[in-house]
Amino acid sequence: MIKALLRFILWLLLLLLTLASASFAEQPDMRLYGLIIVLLITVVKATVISEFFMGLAGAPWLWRALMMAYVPVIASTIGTIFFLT
Amino acid sequence: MQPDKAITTHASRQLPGDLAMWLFIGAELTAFALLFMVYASSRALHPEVFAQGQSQLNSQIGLLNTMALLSSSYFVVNAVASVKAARRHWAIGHLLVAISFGLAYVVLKSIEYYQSFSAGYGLTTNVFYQYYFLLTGFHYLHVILGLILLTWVTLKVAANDYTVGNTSGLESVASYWHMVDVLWLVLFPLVYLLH
Repeated sequence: MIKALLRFILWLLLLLLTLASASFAEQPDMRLYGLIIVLLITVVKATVISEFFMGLAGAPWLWRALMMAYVPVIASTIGTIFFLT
Repeated sequence: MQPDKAITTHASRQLPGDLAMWLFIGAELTAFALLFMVYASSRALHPEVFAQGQSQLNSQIGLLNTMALLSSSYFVVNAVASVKAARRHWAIGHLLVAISFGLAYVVLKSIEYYQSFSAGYGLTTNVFYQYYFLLTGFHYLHVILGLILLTWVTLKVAANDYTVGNTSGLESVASYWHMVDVLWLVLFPLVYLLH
């Protein structure tokens, strides 16, 4: 019951974060901060999915680390490329 | 130091689903990582073309698609939990809702493609549309494959093929579906939000 409630709260959180990232991205005066916030939100959402939905919180550390690192590495690379151009 | 406890904790940590599925997921994530990098690098080389192309996209559909995939993932994880709790009928219900959200994604994405093609944009229009159709089209195919797999496991749940201690096949498909969701979570800001 508690786990079901946690999943429901996380689902709502994911939806709210999605709306927030769309809102931040539309702010014309926050180009750099908007980029950072949108990418950070993406990392948080992906972490929630991999840890709680995929169930990697109880997986071997190597697989968990690989999955946990995937989106932060991609997001930071994209952020760097966007920032430099 | 409690060696027995340490051994038990280590042994109890296991991947959800089959190892083969996780190797496949690893390969898919690598392929998409390369595509993301190619897209971002190409954008750096052609900023005006990408800015103009991105402004033509329907970001409302992109937002709705994100909501649809996140919701679908939520119902899939609920379905796995229901099977593990021996609540087969709940699991079937959750899976059907998950499939419905997945279908909503396919319909919305198809509408978006139709709008783009109707407006005269295609793979050969410019470098932005080339990578836009390549990235989103590759992901679209993954969603369709995921929906086929979800339908298959729904039939298996209905046939009572998964039991409380035997959910590996269902967990493998669920992991694949969550991976499709994670990939879209990167695709959505990359293509629609970050101008």
